[in-house]
Amino acid sequence: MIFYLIKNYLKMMLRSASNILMYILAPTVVAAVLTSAFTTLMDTYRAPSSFEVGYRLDEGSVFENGMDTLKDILKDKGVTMTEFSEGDPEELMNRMELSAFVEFGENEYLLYKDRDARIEGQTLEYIIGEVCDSMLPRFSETPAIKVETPFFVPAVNSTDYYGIIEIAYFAWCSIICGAVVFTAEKKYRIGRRFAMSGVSELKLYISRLVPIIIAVSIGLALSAAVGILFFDVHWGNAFLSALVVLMMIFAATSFELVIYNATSSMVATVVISFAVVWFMGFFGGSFETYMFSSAPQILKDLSPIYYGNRALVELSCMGRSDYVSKSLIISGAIGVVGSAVNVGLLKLRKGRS
Amino acid sequence: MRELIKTTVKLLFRNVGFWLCLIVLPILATFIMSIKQQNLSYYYLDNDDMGVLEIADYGEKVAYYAGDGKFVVKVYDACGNDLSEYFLTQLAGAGMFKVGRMKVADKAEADEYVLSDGQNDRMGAALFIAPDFASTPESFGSLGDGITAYVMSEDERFSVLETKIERILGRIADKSMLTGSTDAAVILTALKAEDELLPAKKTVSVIGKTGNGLTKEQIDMKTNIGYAFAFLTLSFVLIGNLVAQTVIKEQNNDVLRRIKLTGKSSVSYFASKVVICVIVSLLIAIVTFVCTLFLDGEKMGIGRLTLTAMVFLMGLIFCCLSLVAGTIAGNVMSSNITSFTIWCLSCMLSGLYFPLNGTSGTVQAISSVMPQKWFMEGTELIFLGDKTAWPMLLCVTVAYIILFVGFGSVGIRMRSTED
Repeated sequence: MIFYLIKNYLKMMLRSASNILMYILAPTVVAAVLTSAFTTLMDTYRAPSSFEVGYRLDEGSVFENGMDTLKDILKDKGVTMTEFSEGDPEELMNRMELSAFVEFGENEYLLYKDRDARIEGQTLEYIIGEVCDSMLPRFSETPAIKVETPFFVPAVNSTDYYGIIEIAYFAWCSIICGAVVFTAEKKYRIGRRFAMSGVSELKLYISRLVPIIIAVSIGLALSAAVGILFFDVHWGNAFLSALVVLMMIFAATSFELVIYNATSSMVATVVISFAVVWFMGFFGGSFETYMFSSAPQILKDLSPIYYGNRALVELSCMGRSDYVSKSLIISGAIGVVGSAVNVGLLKLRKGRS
Repeated sequence: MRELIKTTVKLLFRNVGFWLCLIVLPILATFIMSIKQQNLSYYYLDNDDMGVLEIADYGEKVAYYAGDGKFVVKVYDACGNDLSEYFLTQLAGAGMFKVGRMKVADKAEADEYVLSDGQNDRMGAALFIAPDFASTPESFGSLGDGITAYVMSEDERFSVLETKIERILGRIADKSMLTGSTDAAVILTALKAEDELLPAKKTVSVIGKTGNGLTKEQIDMKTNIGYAFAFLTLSFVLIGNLVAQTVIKEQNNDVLRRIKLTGKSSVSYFASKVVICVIVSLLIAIVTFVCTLFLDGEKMGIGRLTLTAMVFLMGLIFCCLSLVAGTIAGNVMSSNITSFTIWCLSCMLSGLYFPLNGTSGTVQAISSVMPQKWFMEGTELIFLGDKTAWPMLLCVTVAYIILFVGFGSVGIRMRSTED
């Protein structure tokens, strides 16, 4: 009986194309937007290989004599300097596609930096500053500073972060997968027939839980595949990552079924679940990266999704994470407690009916 | 029509969800406005040459300092003498580093913070300045011992930082040797005299300048208002959805048919629902106004009445949108999902949660379609005292309502033809 129910539910869930599409499309779209928003902030630094800079040298400038040396130093760093004796610097930058422009005055220099070529501007500013500094006479030895390398989590870029995190977020929206089926079931009063049959509450619960987990897993696995193939998202240890996501789907389904069994209303379930998951995601790093969010740590710690997010991200950038076990324990605990409550609620309902 | 409005209002008042949206969400929105923002503003600010940024407490993260791509250096300063200040100013002025400084008592405290930083914050490197840095005659013999640099990333610019630090320390050591003094004031004077000899540097940021003239405080307030708008949007879409549900139920239970039999047209029926949206938006605006009375007006950065008026206009847009979308969706379940989708996507894409400055052209174009984006722009203009804010907001509101009601009537007609 239970296998028949699972098979039947699963068939109905997988038959709904919009269902599966949501689990493939939604994480991809949200991840694409967030990746785009945080690209500059989370990109790893890459030294510019070569770029072009325009300059103008005023007569009597302190740079006049050393200009050739400066150009040689900059050339070694991949910076080509081209002189423009006339024209508006900003217009020249636009027209000639220059990354920066320098006006060397009598005893000053004005550096025009393009906000779209910030690294180039910063590199140029630093090099010119250093060249100026090096003109000063030096007498004593350069003091060496102490360097320590503490443990730090390597930086993760926005593509990997959001490509992974949004899969976890939608794992927590698993109830949508069962919404249509359960609503139809309620409409045609199938629940009463279940009550009449000899199916135990545990079996009835499992027959709802398992197909949701399977259907959501299929949808999210496809979404993850889209991320890997088309957006070059790097996941860490495949087995552990899959286990973390799977346990989150278990926890989410179990928790959301508790709401459904308690309220008997799919509308209320969707509203409450979405609201809870949104807040969890808000504090747990699903929208603003958890490394960047200045929300109090206690709010992050209270969000179960935070542990899963961190586990998956750290697995991706470090290959290991202390949060894997924490996430599995928390998701497992929510899943098990939720399952017990679900069975209890189903029993209570049967007793009443 | 009055009877129709009265009946719907009665139905709404009997719904617990309505009261939650009307009272709880505006309270949450006001609460979030009272929370002090910490560092997001550094991302928005055109923050070149800001010098050394002060970090008041450990809760402030430096991750957002990297908004302009500079190498972020968090300094744990246990010294704070004139020469350490000079050292940090020179480092911050080099053009490649963004320096944030937090005061600490000793290295043990810095070590503890650094360990946590490595896992919970994001930066290129951290520095510790010892309490005795350049303060005793002995310390001038080994200036490097006073500085500890912590590698906090795989960023190759760490070696550039190391070289720069050692170069600055070299200059301090030079001046101490040349002046034969270990007095900070004497050395500082010599250093500044030497700085005068160097060509002065000025920088101009050009093309796509996103700096908008807001101060750091105003940006923090704007961020808070953005969060508050997110909560209020949820309230509006949910209430709009509740109104839509009355339409769906009235359609399903043939109440609509009976209403039509009394001689009422479909237009006046929907007009009555739109009037409900106006009433509800007004109620939420009033509740928000009352809630803001508990806030310090100056910290809000925007007048209470101004905020209330903006909330009202935004309410009109989202209640109407949710009403129309819910009615087209045709059943309670779909209308709920539609409302949530509208809320999630519009808040995210309008930049209420995080800045969209660095996004691609496509995302920015989509963002421009989101109503909240214009309310955020309006907030900015109001902060700057620009009087064009109100005509803009009014035009935006009218345009969206016409759009939604227009699309809505077509959609509803198509739906009823299908049925």
